Amino acid sequence: MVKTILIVDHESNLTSALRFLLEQSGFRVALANNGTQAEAAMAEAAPDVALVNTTLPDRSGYDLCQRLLRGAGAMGLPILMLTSHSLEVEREKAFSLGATDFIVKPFDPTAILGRIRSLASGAA
Amino acid sequence: MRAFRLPRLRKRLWGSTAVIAASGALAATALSGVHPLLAGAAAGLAPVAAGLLLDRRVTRPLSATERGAGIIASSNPGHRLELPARHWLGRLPETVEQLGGTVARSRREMEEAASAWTTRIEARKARLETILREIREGVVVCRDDGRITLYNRTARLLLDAEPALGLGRYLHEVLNDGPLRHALGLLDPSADAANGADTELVCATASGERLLRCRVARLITDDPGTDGFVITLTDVSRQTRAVLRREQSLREAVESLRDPLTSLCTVSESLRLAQQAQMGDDAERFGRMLHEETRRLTDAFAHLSDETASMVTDNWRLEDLHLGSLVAGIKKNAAANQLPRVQCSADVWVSAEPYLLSQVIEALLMRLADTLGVSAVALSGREQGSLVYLDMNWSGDVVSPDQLDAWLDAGLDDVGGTVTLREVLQRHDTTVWSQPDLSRPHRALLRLPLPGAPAKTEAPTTVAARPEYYDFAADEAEPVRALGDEAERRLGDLDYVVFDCETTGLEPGHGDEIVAIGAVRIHQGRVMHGETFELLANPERPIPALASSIHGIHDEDVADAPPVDEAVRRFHAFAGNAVLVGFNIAFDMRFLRLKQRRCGVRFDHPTLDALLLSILLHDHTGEHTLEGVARRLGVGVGGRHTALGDSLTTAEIMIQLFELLPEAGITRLEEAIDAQEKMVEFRRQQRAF
Repeated sequence: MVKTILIVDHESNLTSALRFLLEQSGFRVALANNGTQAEAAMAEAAPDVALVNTTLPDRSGYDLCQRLLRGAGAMGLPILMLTSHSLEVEREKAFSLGATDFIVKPFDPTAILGRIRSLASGAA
Repeated sequence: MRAFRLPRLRKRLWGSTAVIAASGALAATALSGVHPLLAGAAAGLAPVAAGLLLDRRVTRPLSATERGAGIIASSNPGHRLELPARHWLGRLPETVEQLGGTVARSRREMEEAASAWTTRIEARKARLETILREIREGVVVCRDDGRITLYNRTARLLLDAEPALGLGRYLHEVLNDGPLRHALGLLDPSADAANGADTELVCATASGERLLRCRVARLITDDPGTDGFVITLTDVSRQTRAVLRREQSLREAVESLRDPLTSLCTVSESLRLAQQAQMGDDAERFGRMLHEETRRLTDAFAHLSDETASMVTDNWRLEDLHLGSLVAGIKKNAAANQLPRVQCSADVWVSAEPYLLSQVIEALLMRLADTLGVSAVALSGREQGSLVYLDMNWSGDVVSPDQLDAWLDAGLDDVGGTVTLREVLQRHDTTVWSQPDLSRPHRALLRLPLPGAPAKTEAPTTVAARPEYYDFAADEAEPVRALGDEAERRLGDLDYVVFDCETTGLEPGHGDEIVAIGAVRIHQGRVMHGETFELLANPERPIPALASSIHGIHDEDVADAPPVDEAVRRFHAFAGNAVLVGFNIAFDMRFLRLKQRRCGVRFDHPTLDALLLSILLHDHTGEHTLEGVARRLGVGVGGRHTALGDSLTTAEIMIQLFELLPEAGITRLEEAIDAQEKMVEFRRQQRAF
């Protein structure tokens, strides 16, 4: 069964390239530029894994993370937070707020693919 | 003196009468065998003659001796008794004069000892004052309880936004109490500064205007009860702000690189896959993205580079620097460094890194000597707008731009040649050029503009006085805080804040507002001219022309002034717990007390009214205007028609009243307040009739 990955980030080149790589790896991809689009995509695409930037144009990525987890049908949704902040406390904050994994930009594309595969295979 | 002397004279007269009566009786007895007529006449004249004799030889000399002894005792120990040529006082006058001589000698010895001691104290004081004045750091000396006993000019400048700074006030009213208390707690109570027992802290001022680095050390003295601590202050606000800005910039700059780098990596990986899978369209799309992200990365790098350069600049300690003093330092070493002779007239302040700026000036002078053979240079500083133009002027030709460029590209020897003159100038946001001196032929100059330092002091604002006004009902509704120890203290020992308000009118209850507050402290019987408060306030309503004509404050003067509430709060902080003093103070207190609830402060200070106390002491006259009272007490009236000027005049009047009030049996605060209240009651009854 094809797994769906929701990417929530306003960096369009990054999301396009990631989409390409994920699709090449056999995933289905849904894109959202901001929190509002992400919540709509949750209902439409029913993703198996979500990649969420900690900083979004309309709200905090952490806020979205919590809303996604509270939403119907999102129980146990693995969320991988993408961040530009390298502080160790950011990692703690992400896990405290319900994230499953955490990756600091810039990252190696193959590394993030590996993380996504791992999270997707663990998802129901 | 007259009251004491009269009974004695009376006693003397009774004594003389008794002697005369006795001598009359004796004469009558001695002449009992002579012709009755003669005997009667002799008996009648003898007492008179004896009385005259006694008066000349005893009574008058005694009186002269008594007066002379009084002069010897009270004012002139060397006084010679003015006695008749002959008297029956024996060695008494001589003994009195000898005693006078002994008193004079003792007094002279005491005066000499006191004078020597005073000279030593004065010399120490002068030395201490010089040291304190020259110290670049602010210095505040406090008692153990934090009461300020001494501070220097730099401390005054650093704490200019703190209305509570003043002798006798508490340091915790000026500096954030928490860090200070913590630092004092760290000090070993038995170790003083001489033993290296000090501690450092960074502490905000009470108003939050500045951040200061403080070093605190104990002062242990031989005089019990006078131990305390000394605290030196250095302003680190600018450095701290620069550090914070630098950290923020660095963080933002680094984070700005993350997104393009992430995209670049991901896109290039996608491109590789697309090319591998021969997906031409996708490969072309990713190629474009690659180009975009590379450009973003380049821009982010350029930004980071700019930020790094500005961080280096911020790292420099730009200080307010007196240009004349800087050049004086250069002149001292002129001969040793083979510089031209330097004349300087640069009484201006610049904002610069002192050491590097002096290095640049020295390097330019050295080049002038080496390259152009200049032997004398006149340095001058001139303020223009926000810049100070430093001109180095000599007799001879200008320096060509190419030559000057070469000088500027040379490294500064004293910093290992790692920094060029040009870099130093760039970091001061400036450059230097050479031009002919247009005002004098055959002369040229190097002109170096420098950032000017902020003004050292603000020009005093000008406000005017108000008309005399009585309001006896003002205090009725407002309880004054209970007098504590201060009730029993001598008037001259208390701390006072003498103040005056200028207003839009006479009716605070009907919308009239304060437009200016002036105040000055009195500490231990001295008017503290360095501890004043002067603030215009924006009444947020038009100032009537009549009011402006009295105090000279117009709407435009207060347009940028703080609102009245803020001015009242700041004055409250300046007043602290002092006794408030005014001239017709009820008027001013009414304005303040109507504001207190809204401002979150209480004006429950004890108050003294110089006007009421003057009426109390001099009820023989109806002249009780500020000028009239000042004239009567020999006080000069300066700055009349300004809130501060009137406060200063009232303060000087108060000092004179402190001298006079004891004659009316008033020596303590409680007595003064009682007397004042009785005066109020008396005036109230006068009004009722």
